[in-house]
Amino acid sequence: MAAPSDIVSTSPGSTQGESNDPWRRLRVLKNHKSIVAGAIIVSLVVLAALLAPVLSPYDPIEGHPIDRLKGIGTPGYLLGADQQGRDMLSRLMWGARSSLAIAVVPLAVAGLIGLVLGSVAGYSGRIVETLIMRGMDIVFGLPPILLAIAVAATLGPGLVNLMISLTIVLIPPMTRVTYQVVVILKEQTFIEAARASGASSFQIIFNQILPNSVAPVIAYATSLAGAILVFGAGISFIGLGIQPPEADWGRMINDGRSMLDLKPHVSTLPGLAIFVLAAGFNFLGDGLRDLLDPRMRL
Amino acid sequence: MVAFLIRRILFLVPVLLGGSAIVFTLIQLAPGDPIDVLLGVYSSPESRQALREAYGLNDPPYVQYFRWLGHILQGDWGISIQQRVPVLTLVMEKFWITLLLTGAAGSFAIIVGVGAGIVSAVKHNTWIDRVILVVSVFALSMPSYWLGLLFIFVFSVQLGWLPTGGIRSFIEPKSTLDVIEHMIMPGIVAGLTPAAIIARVARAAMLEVMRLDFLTALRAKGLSEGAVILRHALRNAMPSIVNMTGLQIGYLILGGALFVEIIFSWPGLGLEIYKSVVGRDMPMMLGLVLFSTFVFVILNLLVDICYRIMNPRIQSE
Amino acid sequence: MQPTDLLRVEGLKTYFFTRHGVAKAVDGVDLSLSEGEHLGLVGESGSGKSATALSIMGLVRDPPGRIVAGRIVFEGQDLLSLDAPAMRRLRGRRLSMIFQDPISHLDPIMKVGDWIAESLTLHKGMTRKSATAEASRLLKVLKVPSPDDVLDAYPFQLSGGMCQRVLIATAIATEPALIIADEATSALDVTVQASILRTLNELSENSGTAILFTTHNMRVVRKACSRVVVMYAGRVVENCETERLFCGPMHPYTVGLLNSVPSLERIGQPLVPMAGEPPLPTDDLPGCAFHARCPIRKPICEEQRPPLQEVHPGHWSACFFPEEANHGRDPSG
Repeated sequence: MAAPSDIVSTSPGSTQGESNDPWRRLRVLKNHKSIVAGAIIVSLVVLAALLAPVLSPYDPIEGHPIDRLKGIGTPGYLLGADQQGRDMLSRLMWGARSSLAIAVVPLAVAGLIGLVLGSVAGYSGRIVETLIMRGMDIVFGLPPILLAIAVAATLGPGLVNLMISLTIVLIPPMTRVTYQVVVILKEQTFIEAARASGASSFQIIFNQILPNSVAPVIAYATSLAGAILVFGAGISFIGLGIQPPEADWGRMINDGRSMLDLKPHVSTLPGLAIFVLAAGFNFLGDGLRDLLDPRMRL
Repeated sequence: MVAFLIRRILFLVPVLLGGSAIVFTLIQLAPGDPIDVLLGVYSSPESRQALREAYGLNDPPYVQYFRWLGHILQGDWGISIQQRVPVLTLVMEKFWITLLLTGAAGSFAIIVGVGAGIVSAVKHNTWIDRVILVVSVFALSMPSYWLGLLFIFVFSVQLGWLPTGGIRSFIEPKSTLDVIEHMIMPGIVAGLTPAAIIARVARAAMLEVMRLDFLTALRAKGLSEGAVILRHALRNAMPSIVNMTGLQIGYLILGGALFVEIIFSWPGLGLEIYKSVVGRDMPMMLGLVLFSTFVFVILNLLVDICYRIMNPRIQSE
Repeated sequence: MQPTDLLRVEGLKTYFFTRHGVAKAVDGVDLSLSEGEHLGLVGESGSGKSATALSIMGLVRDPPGRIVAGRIVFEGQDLLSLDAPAMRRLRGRRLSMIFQDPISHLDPIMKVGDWIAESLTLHKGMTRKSATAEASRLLKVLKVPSPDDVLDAYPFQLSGGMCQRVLIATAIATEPALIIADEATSALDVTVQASILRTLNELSENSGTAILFTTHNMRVVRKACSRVVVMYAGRVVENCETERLFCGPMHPYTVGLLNSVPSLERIGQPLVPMAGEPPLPTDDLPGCAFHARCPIRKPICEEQRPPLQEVHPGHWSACFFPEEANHGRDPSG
């Protein structure tokens, strides 16, 4: 996790050279291989998830007992079949949906809540700041992984409950990062200028502070997405998240666990999928941070 | 320093109160009515009401919370439903076993992480630096539960080098070497992600220090490059590294090791939490979460103190 | 230049290989220093004086910098042919350095006593205890009040002048033959500056240590140095005794430097800042690097590079028209 001050851009608007030529912009990316690699991986998974109903060769839930545990490359089963004769490729494509949901939705919701709480705390100062930030410190003081598991266990299994528990855990760090960004932004001259021109606090928060803190907060959220994906899939892996027969990568690893020595593909492929998507998010997060923080680019 | 300690310890009070309140709320939200457990679903409304009164379940939540807190403070953490043993006894016992695994994972993470971070910073912008960065992203993205399965498959099932799990074998249960053998795989698997995070923090902290002018002065004094890097640059980077390392070890003890304990059947806190969740053993689970919160908070305090001690500039403010 | 010189730099070229091209920070510098001599190496920032100092110390960072040509002979040894461990034994023992911004050149989390002691244990094999005692004695020599309190402090608790005394104590701890003072007084108050210079002068007189001052400050040169080498764009443009330089400079750049410095002798006359900017170190000009800013330039200056020539005995100038250089300058100054 990067120190939040690392990812603050202190100038309003774009941090890159202002250029309207789209090809020039693309060439800038040549220096950010990490963003390109991450973006390619993540968009491929998004594409697979979106097109699953169209492209997947089989239904992800309905099995063909006759084709149980078919190996990789069997005609009709490009990536083999699992112990119920369900096509692995189809299940992986459908599973991409819940994996993306786990990684993105809690971050987006917690990010929005964090943006509002953090800007209000950072901009207003005094009692509001103390209340919000000390409150966050208390939640932050709890071990996050256990908190998520405890919430998930209390709410019961299922995709929505898993996303709720991840959101709760993510609110304090997202609030804190916004707060730190806003405290730095507050001192910038263009905020002074807005204040001098008679804008109200509310207007300044929504017109100046929020738009300018969104980019660093998104970069920070992206750098967390990989870890959230790995953890969320892990919750499903131990049986507290998404329930069978839904296709989910974490769940699928567990399904194939008992026959790892005989049919390794059933457990290995979904694990590889989690690993690759998490790496995609991490590369993207690293790249975005470098882009927003020229100091670290060197 | 004293003022800081007092302030910091006073801050423990709201954190622990808040933490325990969250845990208490979870008890309240947990599905199922405790009366059902005691009297059965078909008991008469009158007897239910009487029992609610007797247990104080009709009192306002905050009264119930402080009563519960009183029990907790007196060491009465309830009885595990599954194992019929006081929760606190069980938690303490499991804590040491998890600490053992954390020790193995933490040492691995610190040695590999700090080492890789230093090498990466010293070889900044060379191919070595880039390889370490890419490997660290891979390590960061590795699901430990999956890697654990692969390790067992390769090193235990295929090669037969290491035991598949548990903390000791039945043949030589007393030997230290036996326990160490059992610690190798879970230690490495649990330590991999923290190692990557520590490496990245160490690299950034070292790069920050290595830009400073005093390194030129050290070289001008005739110090060898090794002494400049290890004795001076590393010491200056240490506060940030310790800060992140402490945090990572906190995450490890209190959750990160959970998946690894399940995969390798390591009988620590993580496996216990898993069992209590699966068996709906609420007193046990909440006891574990509450205990972990205590440990986490105290660990954070220790890290803060270390950070101060190592950083004379803050100390004297 | 005599063979008995303590330090002799010949044809030194130190280039920095950057993304934007090769920066010839030092491009063929000759200079020499005899035992106990105080030499001033003068120029604007970017003139290559600090790169020259770092080259002598063997502290040019590679990459991006590299010494591509020349010889640096110190106490009869060619430093450029020494291997790293041998050079290290020389650094901090026979060859010391002090720096412009003393606070940032001390380890921020090390007590200054340990900082001084580190040199003594390293080069003199002292124990920690005797090294600390020696450090205390050195600070006393430097007239630091209550030296033991200073030894127990961290750099951020001390003033800039005090930190500079600590660096000087470190530099003299091993009785070196040469101290390189790289802009050593530039970041200090004028009063502290004067007292540091006085201290360095005294030390040098007592121990016979030679000092190479790099500075942009003509007053420092006049106070502390017996001889001056003026650098511009990586090359030596003038080299003579200090008094000669102030009476009869023979390079228009030196004249410009002197005119832009306030001085008691020239009260009532305007300060004349030099026009223009020095060329980029990555530019490769065929002619005199100064011609664009030169008030007496002629067509030849743009085409040919003037060589460094001995105009008078002991007075060298790299100008085609050394006698015209001093026009527009009050000879009394």
